[in-house]
Amino acid sequence: MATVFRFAAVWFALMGSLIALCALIGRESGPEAVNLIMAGLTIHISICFYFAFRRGGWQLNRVQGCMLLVILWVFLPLPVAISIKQSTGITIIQAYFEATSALTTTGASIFSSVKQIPLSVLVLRSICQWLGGLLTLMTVFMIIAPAGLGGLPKKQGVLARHEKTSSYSASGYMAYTIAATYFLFTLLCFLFLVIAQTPLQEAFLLSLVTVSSGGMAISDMPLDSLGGGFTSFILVVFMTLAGTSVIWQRYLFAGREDLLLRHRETYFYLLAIFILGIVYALTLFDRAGSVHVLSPVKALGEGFFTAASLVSTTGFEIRNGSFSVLPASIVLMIVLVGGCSFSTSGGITFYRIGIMFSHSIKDLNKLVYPNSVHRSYFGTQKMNVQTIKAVWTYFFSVTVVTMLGTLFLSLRLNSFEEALLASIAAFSNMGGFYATGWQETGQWTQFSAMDDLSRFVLSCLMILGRLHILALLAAFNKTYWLGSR
Amino acid sequence: MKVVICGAGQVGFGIAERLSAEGNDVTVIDSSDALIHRIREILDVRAYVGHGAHPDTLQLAGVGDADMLIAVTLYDEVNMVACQVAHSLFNVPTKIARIRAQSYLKPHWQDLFSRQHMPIDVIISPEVEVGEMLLRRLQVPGSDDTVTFADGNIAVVGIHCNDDCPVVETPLRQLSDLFPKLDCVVVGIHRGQSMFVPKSDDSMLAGDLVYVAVERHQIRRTLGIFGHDEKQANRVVIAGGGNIGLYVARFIENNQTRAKVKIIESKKDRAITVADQLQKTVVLNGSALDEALLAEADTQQADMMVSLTNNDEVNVLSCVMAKQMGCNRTMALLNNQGYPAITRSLGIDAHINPRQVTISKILQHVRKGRIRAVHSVQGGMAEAIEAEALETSSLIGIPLRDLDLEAGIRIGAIYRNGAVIIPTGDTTIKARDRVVIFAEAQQVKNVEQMFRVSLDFFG
Repeated sequence: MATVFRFAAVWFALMGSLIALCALIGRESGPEAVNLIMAGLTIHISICFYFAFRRGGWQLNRVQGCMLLVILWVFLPLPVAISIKQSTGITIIQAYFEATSALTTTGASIFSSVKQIPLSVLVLRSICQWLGGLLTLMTVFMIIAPAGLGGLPKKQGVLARHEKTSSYSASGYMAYTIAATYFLFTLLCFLFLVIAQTPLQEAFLLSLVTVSSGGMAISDMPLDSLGGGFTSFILVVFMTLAGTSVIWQRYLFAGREDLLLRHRETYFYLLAIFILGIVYALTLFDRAGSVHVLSPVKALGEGFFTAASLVSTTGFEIRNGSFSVLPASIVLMIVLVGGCSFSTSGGITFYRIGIMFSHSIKDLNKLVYPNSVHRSYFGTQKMNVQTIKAVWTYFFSVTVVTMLGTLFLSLRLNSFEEALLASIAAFSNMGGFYATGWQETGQWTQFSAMDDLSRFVLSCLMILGRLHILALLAAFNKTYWLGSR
Repeated sequence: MKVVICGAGQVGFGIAERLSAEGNDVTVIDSSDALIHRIREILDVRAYVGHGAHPDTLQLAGVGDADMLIAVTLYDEVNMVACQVAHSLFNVPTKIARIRAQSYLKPHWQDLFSRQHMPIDVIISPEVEVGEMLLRRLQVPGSDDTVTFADGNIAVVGIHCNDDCPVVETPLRQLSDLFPKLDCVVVGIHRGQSMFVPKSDDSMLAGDLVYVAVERHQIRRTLGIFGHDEKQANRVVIAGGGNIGLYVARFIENNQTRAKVKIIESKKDRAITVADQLQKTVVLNGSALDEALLAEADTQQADMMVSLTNNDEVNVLSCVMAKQMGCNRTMALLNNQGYPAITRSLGIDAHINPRQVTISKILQHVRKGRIRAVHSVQGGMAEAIEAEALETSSLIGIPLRDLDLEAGIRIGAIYRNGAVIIPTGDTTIKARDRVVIFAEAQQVKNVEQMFRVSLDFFG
């Protein structure tokens, strides 16, 4: 376990540094001393752990990898939560909910207005989302996919150096590639937003929140009123990109057209955004009733913004209640599916839905042709029984976890519908979906009005979403820890 | 002509048999002692035991003086190296290799066989040749054998005369009067165990397999006059998912959008490989002799069942079973030369002999003169040949009725400036015409002579 603690120490030190940075920004009255001390303590403990376990090396086995995931996603929000609590005065459970929501890029918030939030917390929340996006990509590439959890393809080789001499150098290069791509997208998003005359602070925070598909509000102003009119267009582009696979992004940067064209998951994802964008635009235009109220161009813009936000599980809305223009059942399904695998978006992913759909069709064909043999490839991915079983196991786990979450939340919230939507919003890491106005104000329990137990359950669901559930089960494998079956 | 053949298997033996019968100087090399012993006993050829690609063996076989090397061993790589050695060390003018692995034959690797790299003049892929033959037959339902010439504009079609065939028992000279729409020439008749080129007084009989030369667009009408109104097969069941089955299924998928193809493959791994390479075809895993599986493949409603497994007996039996279940037409791949004679009595409508197809393809390049294409019929009993008439040819400028053609040779069609001419007695052949001729085996040498390139041509 020494390696697990060593890896965790690096991330905690990084988080401590970011908390310190935000504490220095502080309030208008000056830096926040308590948060600075807390950040210092976090960094100090991390350094102690790092050196105490420095003999552990950098190799993780399957269970250790899963254990690291659990430690990071469960405990990394803790120092952030303490910092938020100190800055805002909310309870520790509320602060943990806020921190978990930020780190898992869920975007759910107990604050109904950004004005209630000190600048330091606003920055910390945005940085946490960005870091959470990076952590999501790294863990999926380096732990979840290689372990075969949830049937994700073992595509890490795409980002690994060909002339690798050891697994460490290959992993290091992969981490560097992911971080560089992610950073480059953030920088581009920031630059484009600045060019679009978005104020610097908003541009910085928006770029962090958008590329991570976090979706937490950074201003009380409508997003399309920030900057010179192109802000929403830039956000559509980068929200869409955030939901695409890093592998596809890498092909895009490298100009590998042949490989780009073969990445079918991305094209289904883009097609979904396109169709949903048109549907939203038509519905919005129809609801508006007149071109004087909403012009067709504006309806298209809003439609595509809402579609990109929804499918990439970012959660931004141009106006309150944009998502609820369509029936909740349809939006719920879209959110549950989420974006592409190997991206920062949540949900089951298009890849897994594709595999399940393809497998179901094959099985239905077996009713007519019991001896039929079907393609062993899904796109360019070789499918074996193990992969298909892993995907279905994942789907079963998602169903069980979200249903249990729904059952529990339905005891605490006003209606079953609220509970179902909250449960799936948390699991798919798309808090904005629940927060939208599905019912009249007052009847819909907002995150701020929930009790601590509900918020804790939702925090757990957010973490399970990022752990792909099965990582948790693998981390606490009885055979591994007790040596018995 | 001196020919060295590497490989004394079925194809090598068949080529040696044909070439030696025509008086060529043939030498055969094979690593199998038994095969060499057998070929020495049966044929009038020289034969050596040895590795076909080794320079020592090739030298021993006298490849230094050879006009042609034909490499038809079991292994593609041996065939390729044999051609390379024959070119680099012995400067053999013409090298023919049989290559089965489709990877070598993909269009984007075609540079491999260029003069600079691996100088093989002719590559024969049996699977592709058999596949193409099969497809030609599928596209011409009702025919037993179809081969095209003159860039596909002329076809020589083998048609089986059933009892209800309207044109039987009518002298050929009266056919054009009785059937004015019959715009074709009957060039050959296979009756019982013999093959002959008919004279104008001859008649076709029920049970005959008649070969007619016809323009491409007239094939359907001709078949109709012979009593064959079968429609193009859209529901096809293929037994055997080997290279040929895969080739045929892929072609049908790409070219017949309405077609429904099903493949039955006995090996699970191969079935998966086939399924991976096809989009719409239903691939079933199991034995083609399993009645339940044949029913699952909707054989009873199929327009055509094609049995292409490696096992002749399975092919024959699966076709018989399919026919009994109600399948419209059946076709079997048969390697055993004894089986074709009984297929018709078993209800199998047509058969294909891969060895014959390969030999036919190779012979095309062995023939001298301006021979452009050759198709061997009925196990080499006759050949359909496309040749180009040169200015020096004895055929030029003389009406066909005045030509002193040997018995056993018949001109079926002429291709001139993009137009197909079905010849009559008044037709004359002009220089550069492409002539489709049907010749009995013993007359092939005479056909070569008629189209030879004489010294006058260069004068």
